[in-house]
Amino acid sequence: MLGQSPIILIADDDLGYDDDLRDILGFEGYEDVRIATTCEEMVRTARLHRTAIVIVLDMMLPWNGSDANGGMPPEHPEELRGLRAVHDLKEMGFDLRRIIVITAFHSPAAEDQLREFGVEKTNIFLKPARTRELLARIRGASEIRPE
Amino acid sequence: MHCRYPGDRLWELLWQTVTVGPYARPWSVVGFPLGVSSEPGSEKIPSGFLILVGPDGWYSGATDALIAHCFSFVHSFRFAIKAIQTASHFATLSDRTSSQRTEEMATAGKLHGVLAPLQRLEFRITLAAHYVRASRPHKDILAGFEALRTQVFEAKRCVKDFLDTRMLSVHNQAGRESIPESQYTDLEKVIASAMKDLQELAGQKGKVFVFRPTHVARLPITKTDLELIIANLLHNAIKYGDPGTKIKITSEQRDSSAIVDFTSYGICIRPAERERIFEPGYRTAEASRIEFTAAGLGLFAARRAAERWGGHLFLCSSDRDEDEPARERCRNTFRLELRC
Repeated sequence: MLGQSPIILIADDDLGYDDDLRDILGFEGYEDVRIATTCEEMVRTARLHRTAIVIVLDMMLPWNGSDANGGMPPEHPEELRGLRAVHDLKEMGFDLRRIIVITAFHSPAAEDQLREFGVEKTNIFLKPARTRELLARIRGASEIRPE
Repeated sequence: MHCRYPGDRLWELLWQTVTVGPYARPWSVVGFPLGVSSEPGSEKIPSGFLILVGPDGWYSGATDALIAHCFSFVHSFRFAIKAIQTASHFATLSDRTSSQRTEEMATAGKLHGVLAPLQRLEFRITLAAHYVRASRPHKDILAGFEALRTQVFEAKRCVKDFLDTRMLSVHNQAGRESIPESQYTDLEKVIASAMKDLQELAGQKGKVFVFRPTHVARLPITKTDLELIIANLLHNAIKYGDPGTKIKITSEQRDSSAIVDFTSYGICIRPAERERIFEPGYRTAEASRIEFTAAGLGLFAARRAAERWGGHLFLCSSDRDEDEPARERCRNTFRLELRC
């Protein structure tokens, strides 16, 4: 188990969405919920709390504050910033079973790539995701023992 | 207190106003318009309001049904969206022509403008339910339901705009549609009906409709398409017009054309943008400041609907307010021309 209340990191640049999900997680008993609005911020936070964090990631999250194309559908699916971020997490040894991906951008190619990286198929959601299913996956990810 | 309600009428509340005001009492009375009336001996309320009173079984019971219907709303659109997503997925690039990829990317982009508000709606439904079950302070509960109602309205509009646009893209045959005369549409009835539907929203935004019709023959356009056009134009006038101003609609017949003008006072539209506002997804900077989450598809859908029937929709004028030239506000007139 990651602990009684692991860190839940919401990686999305829609602040209204972030606030709503944070409130819901608060009702579910998660005390430490943080927000990252760029992939860089997400990767940085994951590096600091490698074994104590569950990440809810939006695949179209901008890479950083000056990412002009962040948030927009890319020319090719492999250009999704979220894919690059997941790759970086894998490289640093992050347990990708603790990533939940939620995206409005449907791309089987991107989904295949995520699963090759090690993201669980049941942890990949297309918006609008049912809240109870999302919470169940977060709960499941929270219960994974660190490797 | 005890009330009866037909379960399926709860669906109506998704498009109705949450009324608080004089019907909100310290012991948590919240009124939803539902088309029912209360039992004799209960608090006197207008017909059409369901009273949720707590903390007792009534409050949570009625709210659970309400919440269930809200989730059902999201669920039904989830199926429609998934069908579109499946048809639009990226295959191996070599399997797609350049124009197919362009169209898929455009669809993916438009979908994003729809799916994000739907996800927010899903979350707000969950939160509203939490507030009730956690017996939060009543002002929090009311605020939660107000946020829910707002998000329902926005999500419904975004999805409808997207589906309308997609339907028009697939089936558009500019000027080549025709229907038998028995199916022609009464323009003035459609405008009057749209005004009635949006009356409350207009009132909330401090706007008043003024409709000056002259007799126009029934038009060779389907009621659905005409409703789409009128609703989009009126809704835009409400959203982007200044509070305390009038939204004027005039209609007249000139030779073989019906001319309908929609005039409102609000944001100025630069000449360079007067055609661009009809592009799918395009929004002026000031419009985005006023309404962040809109999909920018309404005018595109409305113009395509008009063109299907040999008509046209355009921004006739966007003139600086002569009474207050120093202000960056304009009188905007959209003109709809349809064949008679």
